[in-house]
Amino acid sequence: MRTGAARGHVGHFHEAGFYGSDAEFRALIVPFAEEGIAAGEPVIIGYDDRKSGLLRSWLTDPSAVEFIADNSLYATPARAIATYRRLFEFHRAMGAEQIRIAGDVPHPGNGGRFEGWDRYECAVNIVWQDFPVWGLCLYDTATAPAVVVDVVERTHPRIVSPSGDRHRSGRYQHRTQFRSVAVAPDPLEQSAPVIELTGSSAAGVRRVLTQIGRGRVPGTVLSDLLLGTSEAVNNALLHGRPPVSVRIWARPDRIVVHVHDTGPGPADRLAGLVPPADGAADPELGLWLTHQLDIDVALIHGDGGFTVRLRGGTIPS
Amino acid sequence: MPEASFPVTMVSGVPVVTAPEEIDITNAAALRAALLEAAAHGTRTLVVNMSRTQFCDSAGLHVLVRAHQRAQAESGEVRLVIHDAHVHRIFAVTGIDRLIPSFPRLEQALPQTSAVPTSPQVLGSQPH
Repeated sequence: MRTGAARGHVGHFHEAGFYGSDAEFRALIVPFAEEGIAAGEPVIIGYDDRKSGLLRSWLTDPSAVEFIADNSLYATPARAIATYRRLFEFHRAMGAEQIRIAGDVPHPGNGGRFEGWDRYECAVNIVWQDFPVWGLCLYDTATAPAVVVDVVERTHPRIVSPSGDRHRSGRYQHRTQFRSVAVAPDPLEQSAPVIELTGSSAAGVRRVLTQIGRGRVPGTVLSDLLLGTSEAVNNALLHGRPPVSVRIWARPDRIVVHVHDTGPGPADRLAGLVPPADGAADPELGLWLTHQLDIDVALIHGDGGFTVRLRGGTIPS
Repeated sequence: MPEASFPVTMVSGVPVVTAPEEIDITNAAALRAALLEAAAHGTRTLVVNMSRTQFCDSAGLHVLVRAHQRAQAESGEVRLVIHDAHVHRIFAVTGIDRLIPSFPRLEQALPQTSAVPTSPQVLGSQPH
């Protein structure tokens, strides 16, 4: 049986909290963790070293909590979703009736880039619905930019305050209503691309990209760019509206690729983050595969059509 | 250019599909046809030799997963031979490596061959 505020809830109980001091952080996180430990529920914490250290010092038995020290877990939103799902599957198989997880996603306030994580916070309302998860996402209002706070309020159905008050978020947006944050342009896009291809096959684009990218980015990054670009070109050719164009920018340590068609792009703003249904083929599988790679992927819906932007190498902050 | 069809050969009584250097949407249907042909031999296991393969897109992954599911429905399985590190990584990040067993060498992918030499011709004469 599930315990605490999520008692009786089915699926992911997604809750956010805001704090402005260590004392408020403590008031939010300690009861969450201690109640979970007392109930024998797995408690998983994904915070930076400082906050994890604070929590360890506050807990009666910090060894009962699973601290995630692997920073690569948050390498990309889709990878984090997939990794957590496997973790949840493990705990469910071990008989857990509720899994408590607390953390915050990368944003400038904790040294990360927030781009793409707005869609993640929306997506986990759906993709973790199969599990008895209580996700408590605590954000520091002293360091989290306003855009992060805005997204958190729009992606979490419930809000908890340091005083323990719980209420529904009046600004919550369902998946179908969710407005993602505008994608910041890459400075390279201000200049003319190295090459622009129109009507090329995916294989043809791969040949050109291989020539441009070799020596500029690590081999694994180039391989990921080739795969992601290939998927985007095939999706545009099969499901977009012609003409399909590919533009490539390059500098010594970064490659930027735009795959553009004049159609509206996928209607689902969470495309690529949600694992494809069993047996699904393109375009869901291709977009999802692209989001698993170690490259930066942005889906840009504009008046002139739909663009998949793929970046590899040193990404500007 | 992608190949139009892929050979299916019998190695030690097991059908082995030889995959091309690149598997993508243009040749995924041909790969599917080869896998169906291999499955028609009626053996429980079939092997896809991807030792030459350096690129595999989602269309290729889809075909392989479906072939494995079909084989599993008949209490069999698909086994893969993967050399390329990036191809291996794609199977890992998608979790397909936990669905479909893969091996670095063809001889290891063949069932019950732990004590046999590596030559396919010799393998063909081994009991199993």
